[in-house]
Amino acid sequence: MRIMQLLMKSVLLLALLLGQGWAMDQRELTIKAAYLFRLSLFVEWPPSSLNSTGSEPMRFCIAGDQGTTESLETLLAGKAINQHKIEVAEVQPRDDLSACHLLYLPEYIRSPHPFLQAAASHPILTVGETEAFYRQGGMIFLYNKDNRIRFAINEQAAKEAGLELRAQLLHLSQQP
Amino acid sequence: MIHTQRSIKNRLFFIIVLTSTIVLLIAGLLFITFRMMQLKQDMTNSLTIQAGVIADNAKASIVFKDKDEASNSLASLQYDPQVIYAVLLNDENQVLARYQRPDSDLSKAPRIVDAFLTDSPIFSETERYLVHARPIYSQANKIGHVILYADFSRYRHLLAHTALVVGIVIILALIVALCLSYLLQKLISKPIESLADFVWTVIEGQNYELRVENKSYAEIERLSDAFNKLLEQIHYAISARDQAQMQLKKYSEQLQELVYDRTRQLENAKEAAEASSRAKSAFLANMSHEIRTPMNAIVVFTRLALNASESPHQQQQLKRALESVDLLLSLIDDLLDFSRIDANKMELDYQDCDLFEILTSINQMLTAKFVEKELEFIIDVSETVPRHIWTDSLRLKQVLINLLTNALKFTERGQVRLSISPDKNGPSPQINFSISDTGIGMDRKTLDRIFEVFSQGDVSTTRKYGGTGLGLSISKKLVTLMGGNLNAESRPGQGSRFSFSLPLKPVLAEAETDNAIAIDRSVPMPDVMVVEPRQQSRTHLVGLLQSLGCKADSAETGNGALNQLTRHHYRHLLISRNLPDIDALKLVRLIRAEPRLSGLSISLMDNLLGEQAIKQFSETDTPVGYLKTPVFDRVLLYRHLVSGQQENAPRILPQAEPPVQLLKLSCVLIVDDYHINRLLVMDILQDQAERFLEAVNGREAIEILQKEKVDLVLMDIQMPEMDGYEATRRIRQQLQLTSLPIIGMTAFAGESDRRQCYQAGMNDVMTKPIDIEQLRKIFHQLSKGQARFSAVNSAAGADPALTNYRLPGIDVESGLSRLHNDEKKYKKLLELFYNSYQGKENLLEDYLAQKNWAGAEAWLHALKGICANLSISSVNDSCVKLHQQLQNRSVEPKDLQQFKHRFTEVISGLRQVAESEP
Repeated sequence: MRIMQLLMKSVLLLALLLGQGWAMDQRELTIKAAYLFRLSLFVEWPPSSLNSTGSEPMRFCIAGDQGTTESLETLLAGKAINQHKIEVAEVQPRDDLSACHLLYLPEYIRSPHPFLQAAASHPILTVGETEAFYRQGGMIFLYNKDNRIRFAINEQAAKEAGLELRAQLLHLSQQP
Repeated sequence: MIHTQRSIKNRLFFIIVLTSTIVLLIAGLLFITFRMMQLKQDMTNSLTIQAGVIADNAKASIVFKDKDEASNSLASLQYDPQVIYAVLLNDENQVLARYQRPDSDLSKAPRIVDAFLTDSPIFSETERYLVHARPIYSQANKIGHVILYADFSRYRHLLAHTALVVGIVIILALIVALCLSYLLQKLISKPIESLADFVWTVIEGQNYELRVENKSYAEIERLSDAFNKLLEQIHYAISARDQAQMQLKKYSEQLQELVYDRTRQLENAKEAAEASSRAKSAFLANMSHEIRTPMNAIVVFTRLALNASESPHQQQQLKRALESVDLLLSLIDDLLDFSRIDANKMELDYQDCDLFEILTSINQMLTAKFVEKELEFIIDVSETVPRHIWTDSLRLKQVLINLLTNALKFTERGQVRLSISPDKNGPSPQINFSISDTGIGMDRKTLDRIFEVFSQGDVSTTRKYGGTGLGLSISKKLVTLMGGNLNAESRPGQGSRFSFSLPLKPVLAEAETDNAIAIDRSVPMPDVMVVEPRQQSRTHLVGLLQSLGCKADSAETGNGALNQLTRHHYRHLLISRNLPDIDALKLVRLIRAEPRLSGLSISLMDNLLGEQAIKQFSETDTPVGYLKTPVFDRVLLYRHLVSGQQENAPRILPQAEPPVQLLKLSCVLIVDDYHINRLLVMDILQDQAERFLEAVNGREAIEILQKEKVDLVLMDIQMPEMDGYEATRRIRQQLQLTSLPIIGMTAFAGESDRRQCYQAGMNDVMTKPIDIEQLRKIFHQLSKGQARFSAVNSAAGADPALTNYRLPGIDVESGLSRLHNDEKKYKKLLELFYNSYQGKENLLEDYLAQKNWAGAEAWLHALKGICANLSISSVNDSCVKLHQQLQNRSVEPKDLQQFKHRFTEVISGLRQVAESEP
């Protein structure tokens, strides 16, 4: 609860400071941060990437937008999956993505392909919000339906990347 | 037999049942507890598992808030009936899903408490539910809670079910235990009971040879063994005891037999001894009888010869013969007495006796001997000695004569003194007799043996003094029989003293009474002088006179007397016949010659032998009185002195009878088995009878009496075939010869013999040896027609018998027997009584009215004595009663009336007697 209140306060403060220039509103961003965290609860990374007993941080890489990255970093600060602290970093398509465990491509990334390309040879859970992303081999596609955020999972892509998705998560995925 | 509540059987049963009950209950409780815990554990386990499964399955639906999926994850709870309610909460504590068991009656959802929302799973119990809350984690992040509510009802239901099962199991187990214990207790109690039964068999059958065969248990076996041992011991003991008893019984039987044998032997011996003793006694009695009969003949014929003899020399010889016979007779008597006493056959014949009569008789018998040895004989009777005593006169006389003869025998000079005095030392009144002499005496050794049989001082004594040596021994035994003890004291040269005391039983009349009748104290007594040379006699006589109230002086010699007569005036002079200086007769003449002494009455004193001479002197020369020595009877002395002054006759004492003309009898029957006795009687009576008839026994006598008319029967007592008693009885009863005079003749003239004769119907009894004088006297009485029996039946008798009168209150029979059936005497005495007391019936009343107690008492006392003597029993009884009451100075009027009535009755009865006298 406290975290939630803190989050709410942070979002309010950000909105006041940044004003209208932002591509995504704060509310939506908060939900996206919660979804990213929840999804990572049901994913198993290969030990080479994330030792289940170790305490190396889990790196959430955010494509493109510094503002979004900073907002997310604030929203996810202090959260951990097991002993792995969540770190948020902004990446570009030319960056080495090998250190990333999750790659989030917000809606405003119109060409997901470079990012997908860069992440392809690494066990990185890719989460995107566009249909293009899903079609070009993105693993989890977040979309709005009936005013609720839903997700669809490309189980094949995850498997190819060496990630294991929990059955319960698979059970909740709905194709758009 | 066995108290059921305490029997081992019941105890065992009880113990088993109790033990199994307790064990079963404990086990049941433990089981239920365990089951409870187990059930609870099951519940928690089941909840934990289900909560875990739900938490795992619902993770994604919680994370992504998928309510449908969440509800689905709770749906599996329907398979667990105990969970009635469940909730799923997300991390914001929002309820994502809820489950309620369709059939549960949960009215409202249980509250979710904050306490449930912890970081670790917890269990919490309320009254109805067991709550399990579990937090749900995903990758170390708490994402929500699952809370399950389990209902206890099922748990309780299961528990109740378990309890029921346990209860049933317990009950079943108890039933089994009961059955088993019933079966098993028999194992224990059976052997014990059988042992007990066995013991009872042994006890009831008394069979100690039985043995127990009980091997069921080690303990019982031990008990049985011990019991067998015990039985063995008992058997042994009992058989030993039985044996001992048998032996004892055998011994006792043997002993009984022995005792029986011995007893029979003893009985035989006793019978033999008794028979021999009887034979001895009979022999002695017969012998004495046999000896007496010829002796009697000797005596009587000798006396007849003596009477007929003219020659003095022959007379002398005959007298000697008589003396010898007397001695022989006394010897026989002694022997007979001794044998009687020795055989305990001596029977005393107690009678009312006149002591003075006894003494007179003794004096008569011994006078000659005293005169012969020139010894003084003093009889000293104390004034308080009663005249009449209750004793066996014959035996008392015998003892006294024995002792006096003994004293005479051993005394050469001096005197023999017989003292009689009441002995007041003992607890009961006694009368003491003491005979002392001045003879040779005895030393102690002799004194010790003196009462032994056939013992005398020593052999020389026997030679010198003669005697059987039985006398003292017999005396001692007789005194013992009479209740006294004969003692002797003596020292050589100083004489001997024999004394004994007898219980004094005075007869109704006492000494005072006699004196009251005979001695009138109111008469002034004369002054008396005694002239007596012998000192002892003089002192005694003076003492007697003084006791009568006389003033008495004494002189030793005739001259001394003459001297004193000049100095003092005496009324009466008593002179001994034997004076040393002057002949007593001469002295009398001298005194009579003196005119100054004309008023003096003189009595000469001498023993019986001198009586005749003095009487002759009195008739021919000058009148003098005769006083028989020794003087001992106060009454006689008084009368002697008083008759000198007054002419009135002594009261109530019979006067001598005038001689009567003899009648001749026509026929006399003499019954005796001894011819010589019959001859003797015929000889004596030849002048008095015309004809004699003889019979040898009672039967012959009866036969004769049936044919002949007889005037008199003289009947011997001891005869063969039929004795005198029986014969007399038959004569009186069968022949109805009630008026025929029958006179018995017996050798044993005891009072009892006499009474027996009277009872048989005899008129009188004579003792053998037949005294000629006695026979003649009886004959005279008979011929006068005054013998009791003939008098009774003679219708034409001049003097009617007393029995013809109606004399109420007078026991004529007893009165007559007291006077030896001397009816005439009795009649005279009764007449005297009548004359003295006629018209005096009110005298006593007068005395009492004047309160003259002493007078009344004296009068009654005198009357009582007289009535007792005359057998006027009714008045006597009243007198005794009134006399007793007078001691308390009050008389009951009832008794006084009775006395008066009886007195008048007696007097009026006697009036006929008195008036019938011509």
